[in-house]
Formats: sequence, C-alpha cells, structure tokens
Amino acid sequence: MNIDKYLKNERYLKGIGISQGIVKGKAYIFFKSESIDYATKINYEDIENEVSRLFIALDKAKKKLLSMRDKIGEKIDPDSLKIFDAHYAVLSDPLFISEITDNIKSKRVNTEYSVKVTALDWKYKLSKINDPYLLERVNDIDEIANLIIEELSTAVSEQNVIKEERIIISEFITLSELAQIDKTKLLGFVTAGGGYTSHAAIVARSLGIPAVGHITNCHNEIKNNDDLIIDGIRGICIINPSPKIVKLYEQEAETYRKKLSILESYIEMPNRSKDKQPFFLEANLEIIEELPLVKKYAATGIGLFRTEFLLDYSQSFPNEKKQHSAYSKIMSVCDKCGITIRTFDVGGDKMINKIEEIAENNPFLGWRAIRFQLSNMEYLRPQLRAILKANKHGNLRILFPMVTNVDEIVILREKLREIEEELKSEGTALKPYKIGIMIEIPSAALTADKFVDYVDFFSVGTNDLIQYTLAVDRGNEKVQYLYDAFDPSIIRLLKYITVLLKDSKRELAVCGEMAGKPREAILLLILGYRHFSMVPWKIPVIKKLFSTIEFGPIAAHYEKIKKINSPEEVKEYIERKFKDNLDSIRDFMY
Amino acid sequence: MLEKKFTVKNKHGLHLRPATEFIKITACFKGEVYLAKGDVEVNAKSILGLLTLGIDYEDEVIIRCTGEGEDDFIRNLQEFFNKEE
Repeated sequence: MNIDKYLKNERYLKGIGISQGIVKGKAYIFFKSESIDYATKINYEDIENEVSRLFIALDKAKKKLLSMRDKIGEKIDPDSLKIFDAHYAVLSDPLFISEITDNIKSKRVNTEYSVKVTALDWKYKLSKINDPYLLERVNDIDEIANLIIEELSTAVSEQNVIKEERIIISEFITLSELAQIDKTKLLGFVTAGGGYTSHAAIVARSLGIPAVGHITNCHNEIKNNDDLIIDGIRGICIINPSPKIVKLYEQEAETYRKKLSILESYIEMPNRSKDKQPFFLEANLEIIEELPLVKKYAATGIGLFRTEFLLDYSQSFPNEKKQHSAYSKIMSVCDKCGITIRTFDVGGDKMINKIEEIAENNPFLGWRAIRFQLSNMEYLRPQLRAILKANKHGNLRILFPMVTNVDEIVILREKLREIEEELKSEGTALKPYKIGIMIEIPSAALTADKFVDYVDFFSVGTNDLIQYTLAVDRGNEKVQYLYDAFDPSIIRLLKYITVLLKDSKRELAVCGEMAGKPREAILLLILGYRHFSMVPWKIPVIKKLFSTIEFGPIAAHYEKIKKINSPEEVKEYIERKFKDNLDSIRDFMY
Repeated sequence: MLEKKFTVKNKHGLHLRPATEFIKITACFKGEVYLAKGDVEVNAKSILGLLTLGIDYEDEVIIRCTGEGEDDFIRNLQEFFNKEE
C-alpha cells in the first residue's frame, strides 16, 4: 500500500477507526465545560474570542445569581442573602476578571481553565488570612468559578455553531451537543475518549461520515483550521498533509466511494432469504436528524428510538410539550411501519445529573432506566403522555428499558391506563399501540415467558445482556476481553429466550449491536431470530448477507454450536460454514 | 490624586459583608480608587483584593483616588468607615 509507505513522512495521530471513510477538511475544536480539567492550548487569533466568551459568561452568571437571589429571597434570613451580594461582587471584581484574561493571554489557554486556575490562586491567597469567618467562605470561590464555567458551557453551545464544513475535534461529545450540530456541515470526528460505541461513533456511522477515536491528545496536537485528513479505515488523522499524501488519499477515497455504490445497490433488494423466507431489518436511531435514514436504507421500521437525546445535561428536564413535538416528528416518518420509542434510559452512565445527583457505587446495577422512572412519576408521566399523544396512526410501540421482573411491567401498564384515562378526559383521541420490554437483564431473559400476558413484543438488548451475564463492563479495558457475544453462556441464553417465547406469538427482536454484525447476525439466525434492529447503514449489508443464506436448514447448526466450548471456535465454525455468504459482504465488514 | 487616612470602626473589621458594602460604594465611583494597609495597596474596587488585606477593627487604611467627583467621594467614605457594625 502506497499510503502506508508515505505515512512516515507525515505528521499524524494514531487512534482507532470508529467510523469508516476518508475525508479531507479543516478542523474545528469543539469547546465544552468538561474541558476545564486540563488546559486546552489556543491560538493567538482565538484570544479575543476566549475573552469575549468570558464576558458573556460573567454577564449570564450575574443574571443567574440575581434571579436565584430573588427566588429564595423570602425563604432565608437577610444576612444569608448578603452572600449573594458578595458573590455578585466577585463576579464584577476587576482584579479577578483581569487576572482571568491575563491567564488566557499569557498562558494561551481556554477560558474555563483560566477561570479555574485564577480561582485556585485566590483561594490560596484568602486562606492565608487569619479570619475564621473568611476561612469558612473560602470555598465559595469554587462555587463562583463553577457558576462562570457553567455559563461558559452554555455560551459554548451557542458558540459551537459551525458555519462551514468542518471536522469536529472533541474530547468527548454528549448526545445533546451532537443534537445541536448542523449535520450537513459535519465532515468527520476526531475524539479523545470515544470508542466504537461512543455517541460520536454511533452518529458518525449512521451519518456515514468518517471518525477516529482514542486520540487522547487531539486537543493539544490539532488547532482550529488545521488541514486534516481523517482516515477511518486506518484510524489515523493526518495534520496538514503533504500534496503527495493528499493525492494518494484522493485515489483511495475514490475506491471507497465505489464500494459504497455497491452497497447502495443492495438497498432496494427485498427482505427475503435465498429460500424466500422473510426477515425484518429495522433501524436504531438516536437523534431526530437520523429520521431520513429510515427511507434511505429502506428499513422495515424503527426498532429502537432512544429518547436520551432530549436530555440536555446542562438544562432542566424536557417538558411534555417539548417531548411531544420531538415524538411527533418521529411518528411522522411513516404511518404504517412500526415505530418503537424507548422511554428514557437514564441512570448509570446517562444519569440526568441536574435532577437527581446521587453517587452510586454500582450505577449499572443501580437506580436507572425504568427503576428510576417508576419512583419518579413526575418524569415518566410527561414522557408517556407525550408519546401517546404523538401516536396519530396507531403504529406506536412503547419500549421499556431495564425491566427486571413482571411486577414492574404490571405497574407500568397500570400507569399507562391511568394516563390514557387522563388523556381521554382531556379530549385526546387515542390510537392503539403496543407495549414491549427490553430483555437486557438476565432475570428477564430467564423468565421471558412470564411477561407474555403483559407485553406485545420483546427486544433483546444484547450489549447490556452480555455485560450483565458475564459481569463485564466492556468500557473497562482490563476486562474487555471477556465481553464476547459468542460466549457459550450468551448463546445458550439467547437460545433459551426463543424457546420460552416459541408459542407466544409475540414478536421477538434483537436491537443490540449483535444484530448488525455479520457473524453475530448469522448466529442469531441459527438461534431462531428473524427481527433485527441496527444502525441504518448496516441494513443493506445484513440484507445482502441474509439474501445469500437458506433459512430452512439453518437451525440445524445449533446442534453443533451448542457442543463447542470456546467463543473463538464458534466464530471459526460460523466463518467456515458461511464463508461464501460472508465473502459476499466482506468489503463492508467493519 | 486625593489621599486620606481612615480608621476602621467596624467591630469585625472589613470582613465579607462590610467589604461587599464597600465595593458597592467604590463601584459607583467613575475614577480609580486604591486602598492601602501598611505597605500593601490594592484596587479598592476588587472585593478579593480587599479581603486579602485582612483589615481588622481599628486598622488604619489609606484611600487614594482620582477621577470625577473625587472630593465628594472621599468625604462620603468617612460615613462608611465610622460604622460600628
């Protein structure tokens, strides 16, 4: 390969490819409040911008302080109220402000970091004064700094308006931040933290733009407006590339485009196996902007629409109206195909930090998803009301995450009934809808048959099911190696679910990543699954793969597979038995 | 530039609350104003600067100011420093 030979003369950063493709473009450093923990180097031209961000944030922080003061004014004694005045005085302190701007200018760092170090400096100075009363208040400096930084992050989201096509450089991007970016201007991503399953990666893949993750020092190495080549295949990012390598990449990009056009030719194929048996390929979506992908990739429907994009982590909980408008957009995609909306999967990694700030030792075994919502009806109620109201054509499917036992679904149905009554009395016309649960906790998998009387469909969330079954946090690099969809325990469990639900006439789908991975998808076919939901761009790949397979005799492979003890051998078995089928899509297996 | 010496009569010195009050006064003054205790002088519009001086009851401080209305400003400060609480 020519490119690999010439790379050694280039300045490039190595990470991992989290979304395929090649793109050339200019860098845009995505700012956010989380970047306060370290200094981000800024260019001379950006100093002015950073300083103006500071002043905007200071103004906002002052306004916020005054409104807080007004709000709690009646409830506390006048002396305590004076603290607000003191904080306000610090926000207006000319010395404090000039030191922050001096730090930005002399150290060439982002405003957040500058606020942080300036505050730290003052904290140190004040702590040396021999005044017990003042000592008590020294930590107020942190509070004030956080107030500014918080406002900086909101000022940032307004600032992160991308006017021209850019490659986004970010340490870590949240879903709500992604929702703010104009996707038509997005050429690609470079992220420091994000792995294959990060939000940036998921969105990049669904938008079909390249992305490279795990470039830990991307903030320091890349500057705004640097010319970049993102190579999602090799997982590298070349900074200010030479004309030679640019030319080589142009050729490579052309080859890649040709492959894509082959992929596109699969889109219109019918969902039929080689022996004309049907299968169903639905789309997993995360943000409203992805809705056109349902048509683009000819998905049978939406197998999973995650609603967490509505949770803006710096803002308050979305009200019913805001939610309703989002769900209405989702439901408008089609009036016949099934549209599955999953209630907030909050808690664990996605805790709404502003609402319930509780540190848990084991958040993934803790108060999350439906467990959280059942004890916080004020959050579940507006969501269910908004979802039901958006169901104009009767093709809605409500999916509840993290269900552990039947009691939960009994309570959920009761709540739904209450809400239906409520809506009816308000004059809302209700259309039929289906109720389903995620099978992602082993207890629900082992007792799937007990849910049959209470739900219309099941959706297996393999990512979590594998984590919980194997007791492995796949985000933890030290134990990641244990995370394996081909583990005999997983195969047995997935098989058992189909056995339990065999005569139930309930739809059983898989919406985890397994559904969109060729070898895993074949395994699922063998186990009896026919409904798959995946990121939209994988639909044509899986469709092509399935169209080459005869479903009739496929279940027989289970007899062989169940006797195998190691995950690797199962993979080899599938690779061997389905070599020709896999070869037909080999170009797209990533 | 005007200069005047004051003695702090507030029993608690120039702690957080009186300092906040003081800043409200100096912020209204259009010109420059400095406060010195001993050898150390700070911008008298900076609450953090004032607090680091650790001004106590009966400490002597020197105010220096320049700008429009400096006479009235420095005269009116007497009232502030005379306050006992």
